[in-house]
Amino acid sequence: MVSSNSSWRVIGASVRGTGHIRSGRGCDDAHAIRLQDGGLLFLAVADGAGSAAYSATGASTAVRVALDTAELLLNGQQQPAQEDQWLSVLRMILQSAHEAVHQLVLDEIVPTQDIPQERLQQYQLDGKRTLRDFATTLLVAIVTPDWIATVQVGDGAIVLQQVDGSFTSLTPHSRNEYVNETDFITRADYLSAADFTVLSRGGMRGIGLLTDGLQIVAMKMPQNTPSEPFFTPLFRTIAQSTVTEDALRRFLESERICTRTDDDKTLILAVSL
Amino acid sequence: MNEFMDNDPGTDTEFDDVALEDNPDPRCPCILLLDTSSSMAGAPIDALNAGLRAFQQDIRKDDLAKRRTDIAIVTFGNGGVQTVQNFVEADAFRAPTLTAGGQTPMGAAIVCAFDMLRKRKQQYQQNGIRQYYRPWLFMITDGAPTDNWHAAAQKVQSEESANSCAFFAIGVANADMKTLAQIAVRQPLILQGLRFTELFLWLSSSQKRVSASKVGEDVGLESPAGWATV
Repeated sequence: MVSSNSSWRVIGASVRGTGHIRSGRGCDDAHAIRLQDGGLLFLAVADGAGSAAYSATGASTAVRVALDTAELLLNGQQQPAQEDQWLSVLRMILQSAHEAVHQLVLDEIVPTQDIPQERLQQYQLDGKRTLRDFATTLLVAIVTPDWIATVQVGDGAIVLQQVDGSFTSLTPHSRNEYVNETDFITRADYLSAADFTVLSRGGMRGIGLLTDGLQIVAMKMPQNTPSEPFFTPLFRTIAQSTVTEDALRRFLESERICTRTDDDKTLILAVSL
Repeated sequence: MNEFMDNDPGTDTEFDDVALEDNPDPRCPCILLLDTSSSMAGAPIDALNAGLRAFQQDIRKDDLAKRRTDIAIVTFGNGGVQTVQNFVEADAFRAPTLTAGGQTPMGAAIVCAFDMLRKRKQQYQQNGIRQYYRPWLFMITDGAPTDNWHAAAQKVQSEESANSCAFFAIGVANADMKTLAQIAVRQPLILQGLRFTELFLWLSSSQKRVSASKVGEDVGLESPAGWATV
């Protein structure tokens, strides 16, 4: 469903990659969108590690709890007026997501989707789940009339569109030399693996969050800067038409994208009206 | 050209004008270190060659793996240390027919493999490919090194501890598993009989998994139970 109010139009979808379909796995990506009063916008995407048995549960828990915490800290409250206050809000959001995933391990919660038998055997040899079984990345963006505050652990990208149509990326270069290594919020040192950005809102018009399954078609690698031919039509379409989430899903599942990447893919796009 | 590729034309044209960025595929370098010493003669080398052919056929069935996996082969035995196959995309890989003879200069072969890897990384950089997966070194032997292997073992250990490679050692028949355990950080595996074909199908499947996603460290591989014992 497309969310909109007087301030924002937002659309988001997470789709299963062809690799996951082939191996009988579900979608390990998750996203969450919360439109709030006063023009506040909270967004989150997460990419559960393909190698972790319960990462889909880790990812969906992470995005939900992150935005629950954002609501709790920011709704009806006086909003932070300084960068360091925003940083502590972001840290609390990240911390709550980490702890919620940790709680899944303690509670021995039942995963939200069927796990193929071979994977269960692979990861449950000792009969115990660990935090690593829920490994997931997490990207969160908070947009207010005055501020943009984001935090990112692991790969994926956060892209801003300015009113003049230009794009910037809030995503630093990959910290890792090898592509099959990323950071997860389930790591003990997740806070030091996080990249925080706090900006004054300025001339920002649109924001996009994506998981790494889309990076190869949406970003210029390895600099990880936004591809204008990719994002310009996307933001234009979102802003001008009442495009449905189904249409976005079909786009993400289209053959021209799936021949380039067989990973799960998530995209959230928001434009201010 | 995109409208011809889309399976579902006509229903959703909203995103037809979205162009996809043409990034080079990230690469997964994989070096096979194969023992071709005299003790491999006969059935073992025949089974190894059959396994290599199965590997060639299987990895090309996967669209991503065949573009992303770079395969090289270094043999030690017949003719000393030989680079039988320099790095080539899996799509273009042709299985060689190896013959057995000579000693087992395993240490020199491992050093040679790391040197090839270093050069390959330089090539990636020169060609604008700055994304690559952690390289795999996959060694198969039926004996014990006949040369000095301690420097090679140190190299394996330092690269493994820096997460710069994944080194797998597989012993066939009467292989010296004690020495293999001193070289490899990961537990060496013993091949069941001459199940080379099963081994290489597993390797192909592992490379497909690696090339399809980030797998983070050592988890996520299929069990080698179909061809190996510990």
